[in-house]
Amino acid sequence: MSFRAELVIDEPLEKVLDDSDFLDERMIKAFSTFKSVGSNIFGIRRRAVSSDEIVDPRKGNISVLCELGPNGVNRHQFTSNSFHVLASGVPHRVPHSFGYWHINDMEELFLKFAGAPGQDGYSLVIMRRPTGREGESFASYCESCFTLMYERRVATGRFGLGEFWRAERETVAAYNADPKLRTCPECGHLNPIGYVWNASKDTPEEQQARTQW
Amino acid sequence: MATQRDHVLSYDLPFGGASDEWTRAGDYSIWTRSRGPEAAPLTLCKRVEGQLVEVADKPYAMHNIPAGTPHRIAGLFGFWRTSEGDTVFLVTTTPQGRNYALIVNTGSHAYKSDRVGWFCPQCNAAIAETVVPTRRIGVDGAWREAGKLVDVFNADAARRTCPGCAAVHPRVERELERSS
Repeated sequence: MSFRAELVIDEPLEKVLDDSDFLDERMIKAFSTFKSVGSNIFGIRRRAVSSDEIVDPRKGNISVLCELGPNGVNRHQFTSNSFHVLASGVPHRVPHSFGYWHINDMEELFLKFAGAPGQDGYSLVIMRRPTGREGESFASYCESCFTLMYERRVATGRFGLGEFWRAERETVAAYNADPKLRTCPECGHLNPIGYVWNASKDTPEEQQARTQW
Repeated sequence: MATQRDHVLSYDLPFGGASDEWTRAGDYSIWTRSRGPEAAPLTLCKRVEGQLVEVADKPYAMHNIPAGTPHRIAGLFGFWRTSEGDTVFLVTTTPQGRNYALIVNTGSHAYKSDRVGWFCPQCNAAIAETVVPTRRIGVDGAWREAGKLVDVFNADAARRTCPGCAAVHPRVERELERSS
């Protein structure tokens, strides 16, 4: 006997995840930040995706992923229909999306693709769910000389994703409140304030910073 | 080509394309393929609590196949795979047809092997099952082993005969696109 799966969400989300289409409009909101499912973490957002540009309605152009390596910043231009695999441990940030450098013990898998004609496309992030001592960091590097100025590590393997968002907000707030933290100990450059991933949490100053870097 | 002095920060894999190879991408192994608009859709089938569930085809879909769930992709491979790792099945649509991907999380510490087998089409009983050591040979190696198991299954009607009800399982597709 066979039957076709139909999605009728009248149960708690956790009960239906295994049988659901994550791109279904009724499901996708559950992944608008990040959601842990089994051994993976998924982030799924609807974005304007063209062949050479990714646009967020609140953040603007978020087409570039900055990756910091020994030779400086590599600016990766996201394109549609291409998996982008970011190695673990590489500090990275998306200008206008999150105003700090994220350093992850897990690799991150990105994929953007266009939607149906006239509709937004999809922006996916997939990573392995951290376990044990694994985690990630929020870091600040001097924009002038790339000296590491500030780093806070979060043990998401032990405490889960909830801890990530709380620590992100705390880290950005602490960094923004103290000009000493933003002043490079090597070259003396005063760096701009940071901002969190969720633009709705921005202060007026953070909103301004988001437009600038 | 990367040298020992290069630091690989990231790399790209096309989504779609014509290759049938699995690519190891850090914690993941990825298979991806484009199919033209004339091609029949690939259909995810799962066995949930002993029942066959055929997931409705949609132009955009992303399904998580949890570890331990017997599954196959009709039109792609003719065996039931039960993995210790989670697998994502992704479908998107372009003007040129459909893009498909299977994304297997091989980074999970619990993932050591896959089981390849079949179920009786009449009484649902398991009629053959082999454990493949995926942790040791990789997902690409596991798929090659599955292809060999399909050949053995197809070659011998006795292996395709249900020990419970004596129904004979039909011959099956070999592996990925090569069979269709």
